[in-house]
Amino acid sequence: MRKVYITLLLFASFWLQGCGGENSYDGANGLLSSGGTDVSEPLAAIYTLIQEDANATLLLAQEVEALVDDVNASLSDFEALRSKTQELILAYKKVEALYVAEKLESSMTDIPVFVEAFSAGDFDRKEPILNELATILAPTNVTPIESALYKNAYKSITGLVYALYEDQNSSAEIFAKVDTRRVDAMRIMIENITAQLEIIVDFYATDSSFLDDASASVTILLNQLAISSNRLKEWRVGDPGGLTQKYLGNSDAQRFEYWASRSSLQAIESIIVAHKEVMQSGLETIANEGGATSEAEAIESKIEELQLLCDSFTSSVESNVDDAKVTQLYNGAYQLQVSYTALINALNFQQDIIEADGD
Amino acid sequence: MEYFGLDYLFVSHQRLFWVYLLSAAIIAILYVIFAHSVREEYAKRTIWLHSSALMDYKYFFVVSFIKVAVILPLILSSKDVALYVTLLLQESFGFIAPLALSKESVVLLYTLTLFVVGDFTRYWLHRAMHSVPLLWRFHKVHHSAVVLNPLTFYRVHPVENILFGLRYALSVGVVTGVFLYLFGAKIGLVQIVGANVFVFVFGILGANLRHSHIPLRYGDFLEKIFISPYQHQLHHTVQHSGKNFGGALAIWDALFQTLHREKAASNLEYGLGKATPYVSVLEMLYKPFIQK
Repeated sequence: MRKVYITLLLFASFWLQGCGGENSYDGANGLLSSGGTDVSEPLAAIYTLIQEDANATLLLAQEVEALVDDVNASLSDFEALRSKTQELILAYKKVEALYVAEKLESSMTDIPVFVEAFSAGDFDRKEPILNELATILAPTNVTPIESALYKNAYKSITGLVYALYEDQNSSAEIFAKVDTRRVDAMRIMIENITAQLEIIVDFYATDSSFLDDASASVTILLNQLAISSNRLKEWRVGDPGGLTQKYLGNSDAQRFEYWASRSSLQAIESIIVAHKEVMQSGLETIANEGGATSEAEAIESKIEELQLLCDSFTSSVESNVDDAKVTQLYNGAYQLQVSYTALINALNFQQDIIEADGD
Repeated sequence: MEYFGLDYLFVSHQRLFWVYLLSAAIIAILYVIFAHSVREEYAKRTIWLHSSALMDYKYFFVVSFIKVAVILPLILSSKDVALYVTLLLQESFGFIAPLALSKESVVLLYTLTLFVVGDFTRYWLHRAMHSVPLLWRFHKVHHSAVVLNPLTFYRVHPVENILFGLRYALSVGVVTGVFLYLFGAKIGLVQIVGANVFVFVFGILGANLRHSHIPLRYGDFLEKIFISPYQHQLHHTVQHSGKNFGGALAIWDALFQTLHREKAASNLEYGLGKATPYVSVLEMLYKPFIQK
């Protein structure tokens, strides 16, 4: 009878110990690396989104390319090119926000800088490029345009935007400057952009490594989203708004990414939309599977707030650099980045084990 | 399996994981077959049904209730500590893109750091439990066992549970927070059947024999690096209770001059060296609060 009593006692104790899940010797789990969580389906959906964004951007680049030849035909043709270029930029912001290729293949690292020189986020570097472009595009410059545009930065979106807008000039003002040299320059620029986008599209179409190793892909994706939200905060909002350590109290609208075309706010919103789409297409599911539902909800709520904030601007952010909303955008982007950190942390602790025993 | 409540035996990061118990049993059987003295020890001495062992079983049962109902809700979460540390680092030094170290290297480094830092903090808290009179009152409950069995591991006062829980949350939280800051989502553990590889190896090498009468030694050289079950058994004697505080590693004991090794003997006397101050589970729980 005594042995039966002891056996029952032990059985009940095991049950209780199992309930609590405590008493482990050690054991924070790795990022979705245990528990057999299958995230291949949501990851495939995310990869499809990344591929679709890249494909759509390439298509727009090809449309821009087609419009360049007629750019000096009429003001409306010029405006059509401007408009299509805007679409291209906004589409590319999504590709850039979710750019995981460089972590999958090292040869893909420099492509974003070839597409958009400002990818490095350094206004000090951008300013001389714009000055050099002014010299290159000057009608008096006799250097063959192919040779003059020898730097990749000249042939990027940064260059194309300059060729189309210069210093926030109107369509009519720039159209009046469109000569053969400028048309040739724009053709070289968009051809380079298209070629770089083709590399991205081909890579995503042929490389399957993102789908082969789910744990590594989740890692790459989460790091990329955290980096993207930090760049949003620092480069795209904080630097022009004079809110970062580097430019504290010294705002300057010219530091906005698309100051010339006054489309920085749309670019910011496009990045936010990319974050929203990646959450909806699969990251939310991955977070739920990893027990990080509240962290995913926090991200989605922050994205929603940021979108509403962008929509609340009644004019361009370039003309509202000192507005309180810029500070709100900065703070919101910071909170988004923190929310990604919280998600990464939560996924690392799929099971928050407590070791509460002595020895 | 959860409904039958036996999952505790099937979770690989638990000390009582069936694989660790099985490996301990195999080592013990082999030891008993080949070591005549140990066979005699188990034959002549009441161990499994000794009043101290019975107290362990009862205590294991009671303290389970206390842990689930009182301690777990109180203990700081290592997840919260990790997030706090990462955000503090981001706030102080700015956000940094994850350092360019391969995921495999980060995972290996993180796994090793968790294990080493965890063991280091375990050493110092364990040592403090012995050297600080107020803490010794509570740790004495663990040392009051006069025979050892795997459940003696759980003969720990709830106050000590809380302290070890805090230690765990802080050490895992700080290490994880720093790694998250430096490497972002590259973090992860090298695992074997779901457990930290070092925890698994520690479990397989007879972690459950630490609280047993099997004087398993690792040899002179290895015992300067890893605490053998026998070294921990020595720690449970009155004579050497101020030695061998290490959990898995002996390097801390060696470094801070508390390491003790000696030839294996099977007739060690465990406990507090006098009549046990506790005659019931209830006394084990309340006496430390009132008795020096």
